[in-house]
Amino acid sequence: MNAAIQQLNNAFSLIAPEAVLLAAVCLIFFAAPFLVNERGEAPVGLRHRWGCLSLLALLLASCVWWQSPPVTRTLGPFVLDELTWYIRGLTLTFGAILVLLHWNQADDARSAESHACLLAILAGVNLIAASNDLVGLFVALELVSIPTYLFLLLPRRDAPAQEATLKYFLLSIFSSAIVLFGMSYLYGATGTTNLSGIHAAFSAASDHRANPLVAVATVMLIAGLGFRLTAVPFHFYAPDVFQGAPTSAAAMLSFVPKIAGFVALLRLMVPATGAEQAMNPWTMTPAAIPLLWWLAVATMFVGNLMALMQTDIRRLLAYSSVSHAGYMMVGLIVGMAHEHQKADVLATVSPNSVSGIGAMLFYLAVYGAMTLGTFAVLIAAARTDKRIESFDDLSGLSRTRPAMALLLAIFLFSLAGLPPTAGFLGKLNLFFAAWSQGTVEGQESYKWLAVILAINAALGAWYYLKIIGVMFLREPINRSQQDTVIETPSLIAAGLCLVGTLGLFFLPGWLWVPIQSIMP
Amino acid sequence: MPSLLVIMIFLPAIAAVALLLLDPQATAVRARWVALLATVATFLVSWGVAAQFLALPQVSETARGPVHPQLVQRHTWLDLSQAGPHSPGVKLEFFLGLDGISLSLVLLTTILTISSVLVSWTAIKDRAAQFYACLLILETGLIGVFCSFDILLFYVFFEFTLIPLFFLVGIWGGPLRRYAAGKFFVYTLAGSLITLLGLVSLVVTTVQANPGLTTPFSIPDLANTLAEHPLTPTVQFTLFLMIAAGFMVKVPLFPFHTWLPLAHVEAPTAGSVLLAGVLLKLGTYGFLRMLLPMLPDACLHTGLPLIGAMASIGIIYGSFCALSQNDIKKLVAYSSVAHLGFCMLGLFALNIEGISGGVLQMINHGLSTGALFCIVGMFYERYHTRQLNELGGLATKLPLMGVAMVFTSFASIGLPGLNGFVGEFLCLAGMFRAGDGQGVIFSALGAMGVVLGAWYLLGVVQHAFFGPVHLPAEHHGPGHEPIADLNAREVAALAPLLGLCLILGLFPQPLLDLIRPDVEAVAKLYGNVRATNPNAFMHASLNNHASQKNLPSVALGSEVRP
Amino acid sequence: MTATVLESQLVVGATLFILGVVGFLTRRNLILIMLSAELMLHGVSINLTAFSRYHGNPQGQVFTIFVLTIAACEAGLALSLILSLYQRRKSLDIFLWGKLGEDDLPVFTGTPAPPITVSVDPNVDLPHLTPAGRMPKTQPGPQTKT
Repeated sequence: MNAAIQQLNNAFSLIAPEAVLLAAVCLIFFAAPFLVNERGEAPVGLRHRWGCLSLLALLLASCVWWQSPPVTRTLGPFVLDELTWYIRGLTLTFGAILVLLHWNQADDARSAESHACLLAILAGVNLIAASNDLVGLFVALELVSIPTYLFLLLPRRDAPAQEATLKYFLLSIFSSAIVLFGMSYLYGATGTTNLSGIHAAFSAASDHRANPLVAVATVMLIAGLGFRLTAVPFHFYAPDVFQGAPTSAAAMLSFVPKIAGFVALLRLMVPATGAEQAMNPWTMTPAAIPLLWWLAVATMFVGNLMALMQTDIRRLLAYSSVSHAGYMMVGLIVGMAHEHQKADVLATVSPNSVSGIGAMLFYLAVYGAMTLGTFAVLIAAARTDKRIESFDDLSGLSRTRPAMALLLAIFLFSLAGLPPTAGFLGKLNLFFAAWSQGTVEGQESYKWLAVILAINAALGAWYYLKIIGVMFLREPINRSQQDTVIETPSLIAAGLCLVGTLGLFFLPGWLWVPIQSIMP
Repeated sequence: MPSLLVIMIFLPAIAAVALLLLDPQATAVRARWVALLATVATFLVSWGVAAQFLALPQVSETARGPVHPQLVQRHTWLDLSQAGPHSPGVKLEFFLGLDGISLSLVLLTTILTISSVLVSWTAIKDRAAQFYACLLILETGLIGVFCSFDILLFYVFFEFTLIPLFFLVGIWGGPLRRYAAGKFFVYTLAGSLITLLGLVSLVVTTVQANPGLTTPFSIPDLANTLAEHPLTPTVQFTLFLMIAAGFMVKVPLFPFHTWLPLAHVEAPTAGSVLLAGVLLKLGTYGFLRMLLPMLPDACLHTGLPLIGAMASIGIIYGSFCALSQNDIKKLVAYSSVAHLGFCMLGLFALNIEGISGGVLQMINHGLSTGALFCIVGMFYERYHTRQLNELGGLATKLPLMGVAMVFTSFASIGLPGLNGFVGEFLCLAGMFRAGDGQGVIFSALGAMGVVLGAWYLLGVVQHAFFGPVHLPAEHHGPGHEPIADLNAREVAALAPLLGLCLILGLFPQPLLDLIRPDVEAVAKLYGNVRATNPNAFMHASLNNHASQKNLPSVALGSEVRP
Repeated sequence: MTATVLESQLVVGATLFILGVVGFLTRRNLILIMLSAELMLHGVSINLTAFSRYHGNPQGQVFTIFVLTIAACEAGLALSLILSLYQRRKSLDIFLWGKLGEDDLPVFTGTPAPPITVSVDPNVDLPHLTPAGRMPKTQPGPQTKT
């Protein structure tokens, strides 16, 4: 009994930052109803206080995060390795930016709940990164998706937001069930829910025939998590939800579920630092790689080609987020192949190749900076009466608000992968990883992945350029200046994203060095 | 204290940022003075850099590899070897430097930017601060390409030039500007992404073969490694095609040239000047810097026939297209296709004459076509038309412009005594001796192109500047200011270009001497390749041997002196 | 526990799951869709308990308890969401929620759901289970013709 308590205490110390965040969530949920009267009215300006409180919670969690460096892996339910540490840093940083984006999106009465939901989502993503158990992983995934419904609905409760929430809700619960089914078979095949135990069971397997249970589990897990990544063909909800949901929620959806999905896939498919990767058909990798290969190709092409046809800026950004998910999947696949190959003692691994997983994690951070920056500018450039929806709303922005137009142009150039922005280095790392893996004997298909990535980067440039063209090459349609508002929090967020987008280009080592320590 | 080289690269960009941040609503007057000041300052700094470069002691031939930059500035950008025991030991660097070839192109850039500021003086009134900021940022990008000796840094600057040019064409261009800007951007971006893939795979392949190489992105180190341990011919072939793709679009070589006339016609005059004068040279410079020293086998066996054929078809095709144009700007644009064909013929002759001719032709084309676009812009400003059939006898109205036009056309045609002659002659002479007989065909086609070039350019001169006076109708009526000849500003914009055309025509030797060590180092690679290659014909190696003995570039340079 | 028992339990679980999937994809009634999703979750629960018994360790049962708890959370949230949706459209028909979508694609509405016939109920604002899907076709006979 004492040992169990001891283990629980240890486990708690591994997830201290999440505990801080969830404590803040509880505090906000308890306190908020007392500050709103019976008719649902709140004092003017209450949302600023909730925003400050959320930032404070994030700051506190960041302090705890900084104080808890990676420790060696145990067999407990939670793990705090380099990957956890990195993902925590990522979520806490971008979480602060999301809080800033969300600052004025919800009215005073409902700001508290939506901020609390945002914090809960961030805690959920961190828990995914920290979990070493299928149960923990599932609970953490749900901790991401359940508050998301509220976060989508609370700020604006009009019909489009309701429809967006409904669509997201139904598909999210559907995908959760599919993931859960995969997990149950994985448990059945290995006899344990502990991820370390599962990987140990894989490497201990003496049976060298492919296991049907594991194969089914792999397909189900990829399909279910594909919803989170917005991988084609599980992407179809994304444009509708982005179109209907509040801008800050769309920004959150474009980025946070992707971290969740990719980290969950990493945790499931790739054993963590120091563990042995099994080299037999029993593991998930042989089934997963071809499946993910085709998914990645389809995701890139569908995302970019559909984005070319859009006239609504949010739908366009939704498809752009789909295509970026495809780019990151390239990194994941190449990394999985690399790890799998490393386990094979007969194969020689080039000492000088960039790990695909590293490239993917780098791209994840870069993508967060550029996409959240784009949404921040969309929020900041909106008028009081109308948010930015179609291309016409952005028309001639360089005349009416030149600084905004320039900011947005930088983020879009980064999304298109042009130097001197971090988006360029991100794509370069993916190219580098895919091509190095493709030079290995018998793995030429990864070279094609690199080529397809290049084709898609060119396709993608066209629609980002279209937005830039609308802003800079067209005359403003409505020249009235007076109805613009100064959105200070969003501007701060955009500034932070700008620092990230440009800074990571000039000083990539700042992010790359921690990433390299993740993958042995 | 940063070195003069770094100052030269970033001075225009700093000026542009200052212009945008300090005074975004600047009037056209103030913006253009700031821009002029910045470009002149950059020009002076570039001469300072040139003086530093020339003061350096000569590097002995044995001490240098195929690419040997001087005034080197190296700073680590991303050092992966520090990240952990398992991370790749490669290093990206901010690696700036200069060699003779890049110095001459940098000087060309700084001169042409001054001219393009001067020709935009009155033409650009709308959003002037942003216009000049774009122009200055473009200058930084262009100088940066020529000064970077890290593959990725090169590519970064190479791609970066697209952004300011996109805005220059898209905002201040002609009626089809939005389409032209988009087409130009996506076309070149698609090409250069393939190039990026090729460069990445070149680095990966080299590193896997030579694990000791920790700075594979540095062009000199990579070239040295590849000179000692060349890749297999099949690998070289694939890499050549991939890397060449982006440069072919940029040059542009024959089937990939379709973006060029459109972009030229729609661009504002300053944009056209820089596009033709410098931006196209990024493609040829890329061939010279990335492919010739790195992949000698592929350049010889694939590049020579393929690029030779594309270039000579481009010369003929471009010339015929130019002949049939009514819009003078479009005519000049097609003439660029033809002239760049000469340049590529020279580079892929792969001997000393050819490569020095190619480099010379890059400079010449920049000067003469830059000047042609300036003149076209000037009379468009006066008559608001560029249609050949609406103009005639301009020389009687505008004698100074007539002189300038005739002079520039002669330079562009390649009249002996002007710069075009030296460049084209060296290119064709180099090609004539290259490639086991196929070079003769290519250079014969090229020579036909010279004749065609004389035809279409003299046709313009004769039709628009001489003959019966025939001016657009709407400019005869009252209410228009009398149309004046070139003013002092326009003379100042043209004079340096025309002066350099004359000087380079009469005394090409200093320039040839400047680029000679670098050209020789590259050509030496082909001497080796031919000597060791069993497939090469005997006479080819004999020829090459003779060419090294006679040092023909010196001889040819002095032949044209009157 | 033998493998055959496990197999039959897995078949039950998979059947429940697939029934849930089919129901989720074919129903038009919001509440029934939500219930189908719950059915999927419970198919998984059966899998987990079966495996737990087979392997002889409690982890699967613990997992099942977590799944049940989370399913309850989802259901609570789902019902409140459905209520708020009902208050806007006064119907549970999912085809009424198709306004967002590609511009150039037709909005699929299907045949409109038959009107609610329970008009005697004074509390019309309460949600009703609307007839979902299509009425099954009866044999064409003389008595069905009108």
